[in-house]
Amino acid sequence: MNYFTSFIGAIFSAWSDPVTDPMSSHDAQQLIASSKLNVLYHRQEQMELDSSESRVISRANYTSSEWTYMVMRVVGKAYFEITALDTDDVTVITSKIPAYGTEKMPGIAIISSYNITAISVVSQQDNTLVELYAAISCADDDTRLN
Amino acid sequence: MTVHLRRQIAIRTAKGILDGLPDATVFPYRLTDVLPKFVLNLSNGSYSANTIEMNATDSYVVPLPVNYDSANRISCFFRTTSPIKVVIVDPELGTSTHLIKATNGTTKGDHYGILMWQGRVTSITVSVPAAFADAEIDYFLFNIPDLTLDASWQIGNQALGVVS
Repeated sequence: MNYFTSFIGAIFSAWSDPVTDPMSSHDAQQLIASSKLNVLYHRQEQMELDSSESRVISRANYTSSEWTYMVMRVVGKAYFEITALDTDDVTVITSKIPAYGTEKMPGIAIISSYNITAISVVSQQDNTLVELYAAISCADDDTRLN
Repeated sequence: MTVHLRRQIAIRTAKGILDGLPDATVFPYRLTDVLPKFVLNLSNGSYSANTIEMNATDSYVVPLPVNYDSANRISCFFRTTSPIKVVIVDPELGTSTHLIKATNGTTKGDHYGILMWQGRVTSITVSVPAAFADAEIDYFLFNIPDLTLDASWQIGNQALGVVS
């Protein structure tokens, strides 16, 4: 299964002067690109979390070495809490990837990573609305695509 | 400076997917429901953007927006053609080490790796692990205002303008 994506996240461009079509500028065009995302498994969830509440994200039966692709849309304040292995497959690394926004301008966090051993979503504000898209992706030569 | 900003987080489903996976449309629809374009009239002209090419084992400290104060939040966006490591120092959440996955080439296909977030930042360092190929990295960082004030976004006491 494939998704054709424009997982570009926010596409930004900046000018000193107003322009008719900002998306046609060089800066913006550099960031715009559609690419094919091979998806082996995906799931969407919506949750509302109070401050300090967390939710563990499982990835079915896939191993930690798989390519994990996640998009989180946040109205409120929340972060991905991630435990993973470094490139030596031994050293433990951790990260917190926050997103922050309102209904008018929701926060967006996107991760494309691997070697993840655990992921949670942690809220930092009451009534934070989180929409989550989680996928296991793969390269074009992955035999499981056949 | 004016920043024209379009949040377009679209997941364009491939032909046929709607029949097989009806649920797949729900979340993508909500993602594309994000307002298509904002104009923020930034009074402090504070952003940082570049495209850099890095070889294996190279390391690069990403310049933060001019006049940026880590008491405020910035929106950060990175895109890479090969796997890279990102170390983020956040005064609120601590130090994070994160690997971005990407592939390129005819065998594995060209699939960008992306990391995007909004938070407070003290420093950002990107590096290419030894085992990986050269990477081309695009980044864009800019101040985001206090979003709790919808009519007049501001950073601290500094008004940034209005959403239009």
